[in-house]
Amino acid sequence: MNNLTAREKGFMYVITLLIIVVLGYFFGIRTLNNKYEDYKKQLAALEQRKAHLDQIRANNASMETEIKALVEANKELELSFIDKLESESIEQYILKTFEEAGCPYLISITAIDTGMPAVTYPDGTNSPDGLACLQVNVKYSTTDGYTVPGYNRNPDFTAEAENAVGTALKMKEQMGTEDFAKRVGYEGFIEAVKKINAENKTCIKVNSVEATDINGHMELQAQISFYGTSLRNRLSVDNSTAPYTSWSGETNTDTKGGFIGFPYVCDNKDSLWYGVENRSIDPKAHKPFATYWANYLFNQNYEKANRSFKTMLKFGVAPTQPKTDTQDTNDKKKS
Amino acid sequence: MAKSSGVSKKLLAKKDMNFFAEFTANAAKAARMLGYGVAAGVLVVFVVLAFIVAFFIRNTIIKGQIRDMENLLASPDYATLEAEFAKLTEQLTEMSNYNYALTQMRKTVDEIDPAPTDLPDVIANCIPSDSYISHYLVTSSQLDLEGYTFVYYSPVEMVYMLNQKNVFTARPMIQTERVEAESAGEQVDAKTKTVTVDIMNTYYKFTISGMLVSNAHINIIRYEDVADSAKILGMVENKTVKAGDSYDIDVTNFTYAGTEYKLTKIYVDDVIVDEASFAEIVANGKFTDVARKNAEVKLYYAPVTAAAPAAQG
Repeated sequence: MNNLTAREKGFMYVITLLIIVVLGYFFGIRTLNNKYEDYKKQLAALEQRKAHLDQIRANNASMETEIKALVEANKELELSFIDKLESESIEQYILKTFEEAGCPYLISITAIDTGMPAVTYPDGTNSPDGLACLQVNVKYSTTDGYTVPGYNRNPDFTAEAENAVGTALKMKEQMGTEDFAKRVGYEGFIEAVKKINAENKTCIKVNSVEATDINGHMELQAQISFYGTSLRNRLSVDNSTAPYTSWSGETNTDTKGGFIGFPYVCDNKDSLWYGVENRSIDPKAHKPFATYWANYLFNQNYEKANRSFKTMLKFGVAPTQPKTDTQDTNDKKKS
Repeated sequence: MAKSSGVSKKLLAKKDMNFFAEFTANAAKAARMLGYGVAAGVLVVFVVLAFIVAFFIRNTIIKGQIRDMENLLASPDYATLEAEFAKLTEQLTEMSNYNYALTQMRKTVDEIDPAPTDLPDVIANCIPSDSYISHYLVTSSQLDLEGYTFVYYSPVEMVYMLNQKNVFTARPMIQTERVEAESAGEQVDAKTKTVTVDIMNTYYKFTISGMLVSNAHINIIRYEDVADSAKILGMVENKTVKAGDSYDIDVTNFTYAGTEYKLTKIYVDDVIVDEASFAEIVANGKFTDVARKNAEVKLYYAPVTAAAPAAQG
């Protein structure tokens, strides 16, 4: 270095300075600046993402509001249908309504499930949730304004009744007079269908009302539909205690005297059918269990008993004691 | 010593003096220049360093901002937003579909009008004294009556009275015919062989059958008008309107799940509403029609603003 001239030294100095500046620029300023640009882009991307997420937050809030509104609307829609269609509760409700309205003379009642159309989404797929309909057909009769009517052991002529014959004789005298001189049932029938139609307009509908004049009385028919749903994930809880949604009939029914298979005469003392002769039997019908001769004797005995199973079976007659040998000898001596 | 090699010592001394003076001046100048150079160099280096430091600080600041932003985006406030968005989107679709299913069920039931159970009372008050009804059937849309009368004006008088009470929606069918003596209407007592129906008077059997005044049910569904989309926007609406009355549907733009939608087309019972009528409907902001029968109105809406941005990675 000492051998260099001042000019050379100055030149070296300038070169060194230039190198420092160039290095400072390339490795310092430019690198930092480039990094800064990258950082700026990164920050901009992050800010854009934040903006995007803020937009999502706003959308989420809006969606939450929509979902809440839909949930409420869906709950309300769910509750506009009957939660569970139970045929026994519905029939009990209908029978009770007609009876309370003054139309108790039932001819028939039938409850059947009616197929309802499946719901198809706009994309063509079927919804797993469905509509259900229970259709009840009732047929009642009015009285004819003369004959004594009866329903549900009212009046009671069963074995449990205190004086069934006395009651019958008393009513026989009243035929065509007093209450039996009125045609009862039509007003009550109309009152009942009106009541059912107004009970829950969104899910109970009276489809038809029909009245026919026949043999001095009237036959009254109505068809009533009850609408419910079969839902996979129900949102609401149905606390309805309406008589058509939950059982409102007897819960402590006496089952002591119920039986399966009616004999020639009911001999079950716990049953209200006790002592009743089976009128639906054809005595000459084939008896697959019987011997041929026994079958023949059965018919003979039936004819001898004046076609009465009670007489043939000696129903209600105390069984005679079998006689001993001593008694038999004494009888012979007396004779 | 006064002269050396023919050159005067005095002159030599003077020349030396000048040389040294010049040398000293040059050296001073060189030193000054060097000082300037060094100062300039230091200044340049300082400036370079200052830039480097400034840029470093700037980068540190922006890195800090990035870190803050990253921390913010990683915070529970932001980190779960996209997952929430996906979940809510799925939930919204599920709820919309469920709502669609329930409203379709509701529509099915609502479209079944109950039989007017007040009608038997109305009928009972409209029977002329010379007539009686032997059979009637009332359904949600139909009334069938059968009866007998001594006067053939009575069935039409009965229909007149029923019309006064606004029972029928269209002209009912009325049939009256004379009951022949040997017809089923005549009852002959098997024992006495006498005719039990009054044989002194001619009488007639009549049948009245007519459509009852009923309702029309309008089902309104809003769809998203985007290719390959069957998305339902909002709740399905069911309107019950008395047959013959007019009804309105609001068709103005609306915002659903953060997106603004604009009406693009209308279908009524799968028939598109023509352009002129559509323009009028858009200008009025409502669709108006007369309820002649049950109808399904499908309103198609296209997004005005971009739909909710897709989740980014």
